[in-house]
Amino acid sequence: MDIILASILTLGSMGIIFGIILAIASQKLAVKADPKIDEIVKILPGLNCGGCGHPSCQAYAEAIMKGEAISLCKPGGKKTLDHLTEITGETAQSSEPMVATRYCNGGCNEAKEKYEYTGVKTCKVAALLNSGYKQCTYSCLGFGDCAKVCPTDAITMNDDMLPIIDKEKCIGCEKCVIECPKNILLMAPKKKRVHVRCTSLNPGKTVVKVCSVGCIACNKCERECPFDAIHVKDNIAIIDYDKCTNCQKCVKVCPRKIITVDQVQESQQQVHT
Amino acid sequence: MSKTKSTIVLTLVCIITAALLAGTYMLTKDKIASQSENALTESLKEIIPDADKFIEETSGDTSYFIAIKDNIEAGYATTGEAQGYGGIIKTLVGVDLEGNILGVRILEQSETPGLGDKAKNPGFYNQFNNQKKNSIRLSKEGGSIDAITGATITSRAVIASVNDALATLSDAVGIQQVGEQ
Amino acid sequence: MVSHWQEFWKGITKLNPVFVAALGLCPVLATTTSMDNAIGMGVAATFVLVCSSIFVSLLRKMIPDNVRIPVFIVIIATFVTIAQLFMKAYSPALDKSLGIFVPLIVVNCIILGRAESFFSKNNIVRSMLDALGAGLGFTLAILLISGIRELLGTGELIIFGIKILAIPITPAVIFILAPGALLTMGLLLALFNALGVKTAKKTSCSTIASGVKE
Repeated sequence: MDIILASILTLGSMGIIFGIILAIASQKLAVKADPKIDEIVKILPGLNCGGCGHPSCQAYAEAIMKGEAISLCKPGGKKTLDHLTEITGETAQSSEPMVATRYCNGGCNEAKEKYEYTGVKTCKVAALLNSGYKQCTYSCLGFGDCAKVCPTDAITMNDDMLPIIDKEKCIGCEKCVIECPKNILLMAPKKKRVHVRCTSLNPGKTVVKVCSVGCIACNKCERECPFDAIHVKDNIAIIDYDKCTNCQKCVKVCPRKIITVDQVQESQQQVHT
Repeated sequence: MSKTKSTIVLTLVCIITAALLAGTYMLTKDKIASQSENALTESLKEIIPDADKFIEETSGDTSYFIAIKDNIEAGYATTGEAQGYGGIIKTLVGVDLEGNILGVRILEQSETPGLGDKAKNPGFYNQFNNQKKNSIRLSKEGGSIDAITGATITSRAVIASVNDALATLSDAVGIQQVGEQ
Repeated sequence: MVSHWQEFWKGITKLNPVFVAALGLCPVLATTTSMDNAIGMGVAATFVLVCSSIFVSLLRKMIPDNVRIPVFIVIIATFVTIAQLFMKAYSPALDKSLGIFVPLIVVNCIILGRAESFFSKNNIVRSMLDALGAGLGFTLAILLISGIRELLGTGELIIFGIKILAIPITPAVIFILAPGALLTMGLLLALFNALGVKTAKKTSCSTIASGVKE
C-alpha cells in the first residue's frame, strides 16, 4: 500500500509542478497578435497555397493589415472577398474563377520519342536535355512536376503520362503553371469547357511526323465557328474565351480530334480537363 | 481556464499511471526477487553439487557462502565483480577447503552477443577449475586461461572478477594464498 | 477513408518503420546482434506501441496542447516500465541482455512519432491497428536483420537455446560489430528499394509497348 501512495504522490506532484510551469510558460511566451489579424486568418481558406504571393494565410492577413490588396485570394473566392471587404472597409473587383488547363495531349501513345530517356525523372531536368525526349519540342514530358507541386492534389498523372486536372479541386494558385517547363499548363476560365490541346508552333508537315494529336493549322475550326472565337495564327489554333460559348462545333469538325471538351463525371461531380 | 486544465490533465495522467505502475510493481516484486535468488542458488548447486545446504555469512561489507555437507564445512563460495566491455561482469567462484577452485559461473554480464558473451559457455569458464593463483591469467600472458577469440577485454574482466572473489574469500575465511602452490 | 486492414498492413509494407521511415534506428542497430534480443525488443516495443495507442487515443480530446508532449511521454514511459517489470520477472536473462535499450524504448522515435501524428488524431480502433502494424513491421525488420547478422557473424542461429541453423564457412565477426549492423541494414534497404521500383507501374514512355516508337 505504501508504495502506491508513494508513487502517486511523487508522480502526481511532478505533474502539478510541471503542469503549472507549462501553463505559465505557454502564456508568457505566447505570441501576441492583433485580434483583427486573427479574424482575417479565420476567414481565409487556410490552404497556405501562396497564390496571393505571400508564404502563408497568416502572412497575407498581416500584409492586408499593412495595406495589401484584398482581392488576391483566389481560392477564397467571392465569399472571402465579401468578408474581407466588410472587415477592412475596402472595395475590390471580383474576378472570374480561373483553373489550370492542359494544352497538350501528346502522351506516350501519341507523341514519338527522340531517344530513350533514363535520367532524373522530373520534367524540369528532362527538359534540359535537347528540349526533352519527345520529338515534338512543345510536348508534355509526363513526369508530373505539376502534380507534385499542386497543394490540393487536383492534378493526377494518367497511364499515358499526361496530367489530369480536377477542376473542382483546382484553387487557381497557378503553381503548376509556373512549374511546367514546357508551358503546356495555362489558366483558363473555369466555365469554359472547350480547349485546343496543343501549343506547337511547328508547321503541319512537321507535326504529323512527330505526334498523332498535334495541331496542323488546317483552319477548319476557324471556318466553322459561328462566334469568331477561334483563330489559327503561327500554325496553332487559339480560342478566345471571351467569345467562346461552348457550342462544340469546332470539336466536331477538327480532323485530328485535338479540340476536346472537359468531361463531367456525374457520379462524382468532378470536371476533368 | 486552460491554465488550470493543463495542470489538471497532466496531474491526473501522472496519478493514474503512478497507480498502474505501483500495482504492476507489487504484482511482480516477488517473482523478480526470486529470479535473482534462483540464479544464485542454481549456480551454487552447480559448483558444489554434493553440498546439503549453503549458509550465507557476512564479513565486513561483503557476503560469502559456506557449503555444508554432513554438518561440516565442505567449501566456500562468493561473488566477484569487474568491469567488462559492456558492463559489470559478476562471477560466482567456489573453492574447497584447500583453496582449490571447484567452479566458476558467470552470474551477470552484458558483453557483445557472439563475442564476449561466449564467456557464459562452459568451454570458457570451466578453464578455471583447479587452477592455481599464478595460472589464473591469459595464456598469452603466461597463464592457463585461453581468451575468447576477439574478446580479450571480456576474458581479462572475467579473470579479474574471479581474482576479486578469491581475494574476498582470502580476507573472510582466511584461506591462505588461495590456489597458490 | 483507408480500410481497417490497410491501416494495419501499411505498418508492415508501405510505412515500415525501419525500411521505409527509417525511425528508431538506435535499437535496430544495437539489439540485432542476436535473434533472441531482436525477438525480445520487438515484442516489448509492440506491447508499448499498442498500449500507448489505446490511452493516447482515448484521451486525445482532453489533452491541452501545451502539455501534449509530457502526457504522451508519461503514458509511454509507464508502459515501458511495466514491460520491463514483466521482463525482469519472467525472463531476467533477456532483460540483462537488452540492458539499457529497454528503458530507451521510451524515446523510440516510432512510438512518440506515431502518438504525435496518428494516435492523437484517430479513434481507438484505428490507432490500435496502426500500432499493431507498426510494431509488427518493426519486429519483422529486426528479425530479418538479426538473423543475417547472427548467422553470418557467428556461423549459427540459436533461438531460445535451440540451434536452428549453422553455416559451414568461417563466420565474419564484423557482422556482430557496429559496422556490420550498418552494412546489413543498408544493403537490405537498398534491396527493398530496388524491389519497390520494379513494382511501380511505369517509369518512362520507353517502357510502354506502343506502336509509336520507330
